[in-house]
Amino acid sequence: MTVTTLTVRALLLRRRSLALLIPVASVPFFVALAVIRGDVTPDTQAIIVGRLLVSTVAPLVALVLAATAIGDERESGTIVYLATARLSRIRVAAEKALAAVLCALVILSPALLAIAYLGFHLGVGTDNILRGLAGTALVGATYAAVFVAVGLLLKRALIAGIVYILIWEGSIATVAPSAERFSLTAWGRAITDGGLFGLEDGLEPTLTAATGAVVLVIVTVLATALAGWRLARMDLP
Amino acid sequence: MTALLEFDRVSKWFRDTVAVGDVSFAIEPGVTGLLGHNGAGKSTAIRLAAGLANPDEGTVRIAGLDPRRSGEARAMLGLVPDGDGVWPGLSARGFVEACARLRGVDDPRGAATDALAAVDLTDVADRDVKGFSQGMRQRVKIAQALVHRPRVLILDEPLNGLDPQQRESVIALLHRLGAEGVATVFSSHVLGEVERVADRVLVLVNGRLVAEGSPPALRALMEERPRCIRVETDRPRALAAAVAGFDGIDRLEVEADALVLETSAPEALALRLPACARDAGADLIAIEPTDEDLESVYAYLTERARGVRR
Repeated sequence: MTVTTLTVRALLLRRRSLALLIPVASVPFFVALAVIRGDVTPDTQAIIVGRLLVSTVAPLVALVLAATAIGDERESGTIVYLATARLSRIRVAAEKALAAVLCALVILSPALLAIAYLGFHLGVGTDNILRGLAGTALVGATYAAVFVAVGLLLKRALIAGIVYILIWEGSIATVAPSAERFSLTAWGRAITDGGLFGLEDGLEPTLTAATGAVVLVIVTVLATALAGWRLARMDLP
Repeated sequence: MTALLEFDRVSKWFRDTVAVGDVSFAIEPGVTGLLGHNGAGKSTAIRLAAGLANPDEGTVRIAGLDPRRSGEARAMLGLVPDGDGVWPGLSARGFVEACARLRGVDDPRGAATDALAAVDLTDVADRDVKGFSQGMRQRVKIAQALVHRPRVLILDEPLNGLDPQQRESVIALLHRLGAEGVATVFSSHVLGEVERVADRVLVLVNGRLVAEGSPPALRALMEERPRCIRVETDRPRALAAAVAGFDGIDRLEVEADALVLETSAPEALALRLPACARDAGADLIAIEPTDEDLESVYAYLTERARGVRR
């Protein structure tokens, strides 16, 4: 796991990675606000977990870390040492994605602790709390794998990723029900919010949690395979 | 017998630019210099050899295996890239050890210690590479390339940025590796370096292999080329008038105290020059060729490949 170790170290030493704690802090902030105002309902949980954390913060964190995991290696030229290693390129890509996921979990940990606290406060039960944590982690993993692949396919992966998160996941996929099936975060919300009862229309997931988990795992595997395929064929500096 | 590194009719182009064109060669143990001016295709050839770039035509093989597809081929390869990038937060030992792990070395720590000792970095092995001079970084890169004891070692401009003492140390290391049976290929645009280090030279011009052989063999190859001779004299204009009519004078230039001739018949000129000087009333003070160094041979090859000379 040398590639993962090197990448985790490099990512956590970056100021850009630490700057991600700012959007992450929005989750504990809104949790604290809801608790102080006494406004803790399943809808609040669905909005903070499903709409804020899963739909925006986790993808953003995964995007920046995944794009940096590949982009920094290409910029600094250290990717040469990985490409001339004995490892297969798909293994390199998979370890890169794993490193991005591990770092994402570290950086998202204040948000994960906050939603766990919110779940306990609301009394939704351990199952639902674990669903929230697992769903967020799975969405983060999927986005990390997808954006590692995008980082190898596009030069401006970060910009492309931000546009995708804001335009597609943040707006179109949330207002157009037919587009939900093509939204990774919608599948993630199906896991995190699937166990909550009495949600308002619009917050109630229309997709099933089990299918969501399967879809996200498949997308993660396919994205990693795509990244490995691309890394094996692309010319490196 | 399979060559350790083999290019077979390899071409690589970027849009309309041919970076490497129809290049074939085979590298055996020993030190081979890849010589060419900036933009000649040396770095592209190295990237192709290391499996970092895909040839558009032809094949690259390391001991018969494709370095892009075969981990076994890559395990036989050590690469010293041109760039100075290293992973952040690592000491020299940490960096070399990480490279050893990536290449599946059984005892990465011990191998890293040995490789750092080979490049005289033992004393600073535990310092952060970030604070290293360019010369020290270069040696760290060489250490990482040696850590898994490769059979093929490829170095992109390895002597850049080194002070004279460090250059001597690296040159001695390359000689030793070549003598130990490692197929060592290094690129350079400095002829003196190549002449000193390499047993064999490949000359790349505009992406094409224009000559190959030992440095003396390259000189021999050039015996028939036009020669440039500087004749120091007290009456250069008079001497120029006297020799101007000879066949075989391709170019003639008068300086304040000398006549510079380019001739395709140097031996005939040498025989007739004393008589011409006598007729012109000129004293011959000194006669010296100005293009006997490898630099001139290389310049000639470059011009020939570019179509300036035929």
